[in-house]
Amino acid sequence: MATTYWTGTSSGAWSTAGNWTNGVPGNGDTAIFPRTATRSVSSGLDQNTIDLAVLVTEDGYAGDIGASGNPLIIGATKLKIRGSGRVYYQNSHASTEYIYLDSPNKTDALTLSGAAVFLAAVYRGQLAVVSGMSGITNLHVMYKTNPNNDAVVSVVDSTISNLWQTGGITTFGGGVGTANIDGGSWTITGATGITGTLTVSGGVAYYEATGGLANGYVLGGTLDFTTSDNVQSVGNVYVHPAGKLRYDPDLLPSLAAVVFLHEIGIGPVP
Amino acid sequence: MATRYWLSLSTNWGSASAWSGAAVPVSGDTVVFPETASLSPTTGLDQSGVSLHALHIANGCAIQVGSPGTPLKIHSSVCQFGGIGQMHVWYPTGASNTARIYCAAPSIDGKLTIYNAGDFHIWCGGGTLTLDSTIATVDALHVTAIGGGAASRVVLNAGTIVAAAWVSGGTLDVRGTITVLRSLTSGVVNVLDNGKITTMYYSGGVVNYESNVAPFFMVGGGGGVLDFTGRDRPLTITGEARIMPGGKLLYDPDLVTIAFKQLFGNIIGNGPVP
Repeated sequence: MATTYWTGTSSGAWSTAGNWTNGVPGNGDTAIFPRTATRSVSSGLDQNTIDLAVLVTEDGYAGDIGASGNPLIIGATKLKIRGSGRVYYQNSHASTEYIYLDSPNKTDALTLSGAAVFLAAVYRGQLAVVSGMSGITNLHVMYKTNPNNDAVVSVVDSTISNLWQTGGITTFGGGVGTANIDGGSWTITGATGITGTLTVSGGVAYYEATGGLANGYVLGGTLDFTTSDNVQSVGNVYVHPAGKLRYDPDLLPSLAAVVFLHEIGIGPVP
Repeated sequence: MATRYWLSLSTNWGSASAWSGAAVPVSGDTVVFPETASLSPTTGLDQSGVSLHALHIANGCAIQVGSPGTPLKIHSSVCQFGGIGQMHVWYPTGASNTARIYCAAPSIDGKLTIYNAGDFHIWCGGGTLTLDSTIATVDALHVTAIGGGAASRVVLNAGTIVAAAWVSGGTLDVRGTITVLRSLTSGVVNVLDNGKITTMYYSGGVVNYESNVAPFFMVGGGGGVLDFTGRDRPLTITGEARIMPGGKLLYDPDLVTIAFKQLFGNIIGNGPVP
């Protein structure tokens, strides 16, 4: 249950005790990359038998942890990324995992692979979920100051069970269970699509997946099917007065849109 | 498929002379009470064998259609209310109950009350909409305010279950059950008496949770407030409160017990790490 700080005094090796203030982190420990440290972690990255309590990169730490194709393999109940460097993290944690991302790095702050994650909250910075990652149960995408692009999330093919997005730019290539889009830009591609309910209250949702959408609600913002040339299977889409629905009827032959209030002359015609 | 206008020449719905085209509305027709209507229909209101395409009370129409004791019994696939008077509609129970209800009155004084049946999709952007306890289920409920402010109010009475609700303005009084409050972005939700919201997501607005029945799962953020401080009785929440940055959870720990709290705002740097 110790807390140990990365110093990188002697090298970039995770597994070298001299690079830490309190030894190499072990099971149940808290590992912190402080803003005073400068060296990246480049070796000793296979720590798959270790389950940390918390792994933190502080605001101001600019070093990298791991590299593309050579991630840090470890478990941590809580992973908190606030530094500006790049973290390549392969989750080996066997139980509930929480990830919090608040990084000024909007390009490649956290690259995630490995075991499933219970909850990821992206406040600011870029999260890339690589192909084959086992999925995220709850994903929250928010913003700190700029609702348009503080948070950037891309998911290649993993399943997201529940998504809440209030800002940022997200792209999903795997299936999404229930999605609630209140702001930002959301795009779904791939073969699965939305398996539950899609609600758009704000922002723009681009539905490009070939997988179907059984039920959608557009209370505000825009649900746009026109950026895809795919023939899509879409059931009921309920469009409320402030919402906009864009689609090509030739490509959505099954759409049974229920256009709220447009039918009685209140609100803009989509 | 005719459109029948109420001519205000009689108070009897069932009188042909009361309608344009000199015919009482039948199934498939559209009924319009125009803004200029001056006589309220008070008799012949049991039309429970009729299934209209649409029933419109025009914007500003001041008459009263039905009353709490004698509601208009009719089915209409679309029911739209824009009046400044009242309308009471009792939907017959049956397989074709699915209907879309719109309340868009210009002021809170315009009152629409729906009774019986279920499977409704409901939108309220103005006026006062009451969902009577005789309603079994509402599939979707959206409360908003066309002109901003609080000129929209929905009263959900005990006994009615709403599968999914969204609030983006106005006021929602909950004495029944909402299974999922999918989003609250602005406006006020009052959970009263034995009302319940099982799961709620709020990113704005205020939830005043004064009910004796606990919620189970709460996700807040973005300036929204979930306030339990209006209660003075103990409440045990066995589920989770997940509070994102900017979200607020107000409660008296001596009265309200929350089994599992995730204070994200603190965890990612807005305050002390718990």
